[in-house]
Amino acid sequence: MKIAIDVAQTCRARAGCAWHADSLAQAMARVADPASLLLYHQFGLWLNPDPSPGTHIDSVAAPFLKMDYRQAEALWQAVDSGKAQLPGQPDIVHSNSFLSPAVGTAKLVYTVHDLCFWTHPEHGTERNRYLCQSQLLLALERAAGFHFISQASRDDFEAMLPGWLEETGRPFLIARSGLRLHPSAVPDPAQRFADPNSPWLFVGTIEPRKNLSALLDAYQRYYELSAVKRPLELIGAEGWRSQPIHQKIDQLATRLPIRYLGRVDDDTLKASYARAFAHLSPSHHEGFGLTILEALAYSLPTLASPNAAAREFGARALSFTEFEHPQMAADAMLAQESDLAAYTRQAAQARESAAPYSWENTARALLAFYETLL
Amino acid sequence: MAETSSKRPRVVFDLGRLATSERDAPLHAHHGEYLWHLARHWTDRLELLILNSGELFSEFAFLAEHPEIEFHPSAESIGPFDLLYSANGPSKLADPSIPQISYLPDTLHLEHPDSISHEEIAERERLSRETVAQSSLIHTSSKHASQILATHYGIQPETLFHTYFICHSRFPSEDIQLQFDASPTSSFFVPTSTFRKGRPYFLTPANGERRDNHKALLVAYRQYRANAGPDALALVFANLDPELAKPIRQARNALKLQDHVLLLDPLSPAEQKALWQSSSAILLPSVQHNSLLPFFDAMHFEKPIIASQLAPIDEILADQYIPCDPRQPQDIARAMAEPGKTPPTAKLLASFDLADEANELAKRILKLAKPAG
Repeated sequence: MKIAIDVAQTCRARAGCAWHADSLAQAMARVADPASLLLYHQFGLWLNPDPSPGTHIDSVAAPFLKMDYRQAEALWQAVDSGKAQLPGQPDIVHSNSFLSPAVGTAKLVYTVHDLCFWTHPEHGTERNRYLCQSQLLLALERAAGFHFISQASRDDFEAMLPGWLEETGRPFLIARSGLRLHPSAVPDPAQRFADPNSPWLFVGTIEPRKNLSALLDAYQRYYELSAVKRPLELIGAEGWRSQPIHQKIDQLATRLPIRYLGRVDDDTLKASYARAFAHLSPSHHEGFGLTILEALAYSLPTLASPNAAAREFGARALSFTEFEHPQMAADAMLAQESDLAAYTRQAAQARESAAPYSWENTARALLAFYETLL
Repeated sequence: MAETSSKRPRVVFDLGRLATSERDAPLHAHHGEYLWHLARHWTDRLELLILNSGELFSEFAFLAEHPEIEFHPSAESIGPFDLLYSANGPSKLADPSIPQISYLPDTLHLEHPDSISHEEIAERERLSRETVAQSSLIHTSSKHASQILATHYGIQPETLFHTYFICHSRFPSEDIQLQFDASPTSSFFVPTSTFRKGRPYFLTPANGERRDNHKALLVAYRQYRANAGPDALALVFANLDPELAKPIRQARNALKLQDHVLLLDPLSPAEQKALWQSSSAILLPSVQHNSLLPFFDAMHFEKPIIASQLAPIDEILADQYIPCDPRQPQDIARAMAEPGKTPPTAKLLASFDLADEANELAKRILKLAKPAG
């Protein structure tokens, strides 16, 4: 079985889908014969003028890597019209970028990360809604199987397209994502609790869906009421429609201990997780909750909005609050820093909750799924 | 330009930029109706000349029988004139010494640029700026469109005016029946494999551009069916541009809705009338509207209206329709379950009148055009 993995989004500034593709490809190379894998750095409509920053794995072929993107475009068009075969002649082509190109005689597996473009269109752009909508509808026609990264994404699919999977009998797999960043040492919760400079931490792209504006309101209220007055650290690349949020961060940072680090490398991110007091996840909606899992692995108590993906991690691992209500969220933050015993217990539960998540497990489940499609 | 000798101002209607495709069909209907009215009621005060270099659209055919209207295939035969009315954006006849009124109903690139390519945005912007530069007055299709243009191009409010698309007199008085046929012999038929006679349906009369939001509507329709069960209404897309219909057909089939969603090519006014009359409600979750024509048609046929909550629709319907967020299939599906709650739309139509609208245009023309003779 030859498997082509779409890593096109890893070639540009990475966000959730790109990290997913990268982690999956790396894990596949660990659990499968690398010679059976192909990395596709150009994927249908997603064309990269410079694919070199994309995922590289020794001994895994990357046939698009050295190809000019215009050549790649022509090749995908030729495959679409049935005049060419995909390089490496894969049996399976796994899309990780919401795109559904024609793949010739191969079987297309389509990852459904989320359906925010339908469930929460107000947080995205119309151009993105049109693209994702068209490509998902194409996937209904072209995909031999669907991969959902969480029960929440499967449930959203069912809510949007009720009965479709059952009616068509199209195979699907729910295989939750794995843990990308592994802590080298587990930080001591008591030490973090005692350190007033150990900050609240937010990690995520700066975009409306992440609800950072509500978090900032809650933090202001917390800061007024707290005796400890911990700082707030924000990490994440600039996303779409983020200008008002950046303005708000800049304004508040003049009078409150708010530190915006922007996009950071993995070592910096690990260091932030390691020194943080607790993780804040105010998102309106998530497909999986990658940063929640990372925080849990670092034994970080997490205060989250009760969206479906966050709830999948379980009530033992997380505390939930409504960030839309600043006082309610501030109260939850104050409660978090007022009880060492509860904090320590939550930290231990967090670590336990993260333990089952592994990209190798995800890759193995997908390999078995691919077999059923052939 | 030489001076004219007539005491009535010679007014040239330049139809040159009207496309033959379904995209401009509402414009054909609009200008056809207005010209018909002007020919009947204003030719004692206006000389009407129509510049139409190509094949005359069917919507204007009846005008050719009107003796008061001159038709010209090219600008050379027109001679001197006093005012230019450009029917769709800029005109090649533009002359700084002659007053010009230009119809500029389409503000898509300003209101919803994400639905078109960057090239199309640039082209629309170029044409709009050219139109504004040429024109003494800009004629739009709604108060909302006028406001958009005023804001974006800095046009003085007094140089903008709007009239509405009230064109239901284009429908013939005689009735035809919907044809239910498994093997079509005409362009207009309803396959019996899909529809039994008398099956109730939502009607979506839109040509299938991205702004019309047909794909989100199809997803919504699948949700609506799942909730409504066997009582669910069918869905008919009418007036689809054949090229634009291809991806819509593909999406419909992928969603397994072939037995419930019918896609119809452009229809004649008689066929449209039959389809309108038999429909249960009008469903238009477009993300942007220019002409508002289908809403006036819905009022004429007294049909409930389900539509996107947008400023130009509020402008004419106020709260007399079921609004929805066109971006959210779940909200469209929610609105589809409520057509029984829609107030009757026919009363609203009493507030609008084609004669009033066309007279407004005529008065503007007379005020601006000073016959030199």
